[in-house]
Amino acid sequence: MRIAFFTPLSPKPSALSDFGEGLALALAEQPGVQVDVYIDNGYSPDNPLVVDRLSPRAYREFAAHARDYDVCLYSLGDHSGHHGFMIDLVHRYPGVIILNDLTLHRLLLHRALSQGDFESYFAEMRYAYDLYDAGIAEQVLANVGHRLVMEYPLFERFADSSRGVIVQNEYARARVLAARPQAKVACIPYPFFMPPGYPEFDLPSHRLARRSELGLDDHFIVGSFGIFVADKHLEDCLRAFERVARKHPRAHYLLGGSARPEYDLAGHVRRMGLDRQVTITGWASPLQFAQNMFALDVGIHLRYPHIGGTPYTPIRLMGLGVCTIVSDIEPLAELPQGACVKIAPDDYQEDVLAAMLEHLADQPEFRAEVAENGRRFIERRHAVGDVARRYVEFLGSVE
Amino acid sequence: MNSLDERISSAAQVLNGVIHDARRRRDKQSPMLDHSRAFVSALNTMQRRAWVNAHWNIAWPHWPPGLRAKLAAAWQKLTRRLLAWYINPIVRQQNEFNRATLGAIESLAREVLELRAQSAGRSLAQPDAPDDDRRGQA
Repeated sequence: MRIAFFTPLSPKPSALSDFGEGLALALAEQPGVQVDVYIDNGYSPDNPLVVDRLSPRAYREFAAHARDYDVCLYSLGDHSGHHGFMIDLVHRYPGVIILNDLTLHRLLLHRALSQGDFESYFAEMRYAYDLYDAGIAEQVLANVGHRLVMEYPLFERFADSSRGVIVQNEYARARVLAARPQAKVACIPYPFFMPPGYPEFDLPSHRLARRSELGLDDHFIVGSFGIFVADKHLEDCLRAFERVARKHPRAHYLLGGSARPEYDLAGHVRRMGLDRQVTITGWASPLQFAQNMFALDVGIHLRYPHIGGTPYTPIRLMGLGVCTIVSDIEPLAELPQGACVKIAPDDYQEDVLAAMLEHLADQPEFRAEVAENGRRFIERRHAVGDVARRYVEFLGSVE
Repeated sequence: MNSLDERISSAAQVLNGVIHDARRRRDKQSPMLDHSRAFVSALNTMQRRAWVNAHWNIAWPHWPPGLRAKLAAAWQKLTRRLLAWYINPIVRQQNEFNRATLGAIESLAREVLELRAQSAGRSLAQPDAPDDDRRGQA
């Protein structure tokens, strides 16, 4: 089977670049499968292994080779800078779409704005909902329309144009089928893998080495990773951490990633007087990003509200044997309490988080047990080889 | 149930216990929390309902079964289009009003919740203080 895979790749600053690299390589290792990767114009992939094995091409070259492929696979997300180039291709060359986010509203709105073609956005709204209202766009652009992007997710035309839809959790599958009952939808979990090129490692010794490099050998290390936005509730995390740090002075909070410009996370840390106990790494390459995760005793990944996609960070943290605390939200319903720690995103969040951190700091054996449960659960359900095999089966079924 | 599932289930029991205790402690410390939650819940309902849709789907994504129902749906679709010039501005006006009202109520709600939290903090601090201290403050 020849697959044309459209995806962003590193250095595009998105978790979906990382996902695209891991999935493409895993698909290429499946028997009888050849994968060609097509990317947006204007940048060069920077992972040598990906360049060497997959030889990514600019998407403009695809038209000349379209007949050579059995199926097109599009990794879609709600960011026009990373996924905008796929919009027309999905309709022109129908294939299978991966809905990494359950809304593509911002993707279409920002693409329409960048092209000065606002009418195309209204056309999508009319197509999907028979609705014509600039007020929705105004609210979304003002960043107050979170509810609206989920109420009008605008994935409908993409689903209609496609031979199949892949989602990563049952909630997303139910939402797609509610909007498009006739769609062929497969729920295939997010694959767990290390960034391509990451050296072989022995987990316990790698963990110790990383902690030592950070100068935090005997600390209780808590960490959160990704792009920091208000929806990740870092304020609650930091307040809960502060309460725990009073009892455990050798506690440290590692923030692996960078905050959006409009979100003054560093200022917040300063104002809380936590400068010495909190490290913000800033944006790191996928390899460095993953490397920092090894140092953690506890990982925290809160998210609310969400946009329906399965967040990848908890999957990787759990796969690396880190005891992981997540929000109890629909896209993570398949992760069981006990393989990770799930807390409700409600008024009690900070108090529950503080109590949980304290419990995990006081009970290292129990912490290790939850971490090991998580690692084995991910190994069982998210192994990249199994995920790739399921992708190939599904792609074969819609050829 | 295999051994991993058993281990997960046993860890879940411990975790649920920690969560339950933390929530109960918070309830004892913040008697106003229930009211705050009801308040937030009402606000969430308002947010969900604030947007009025001028045009509900008619015969979409599927036409109703039966010729009679199809004709009725077609008539509804036609009249909806014919009346759009009249209905749309009214709905737009209503949405603007709803949006402004919701924004104002949200601002007020934030202030009320902050004041509640401050006053709850004060009233909680007082019973812990020795009687003499309280008299002294008075």
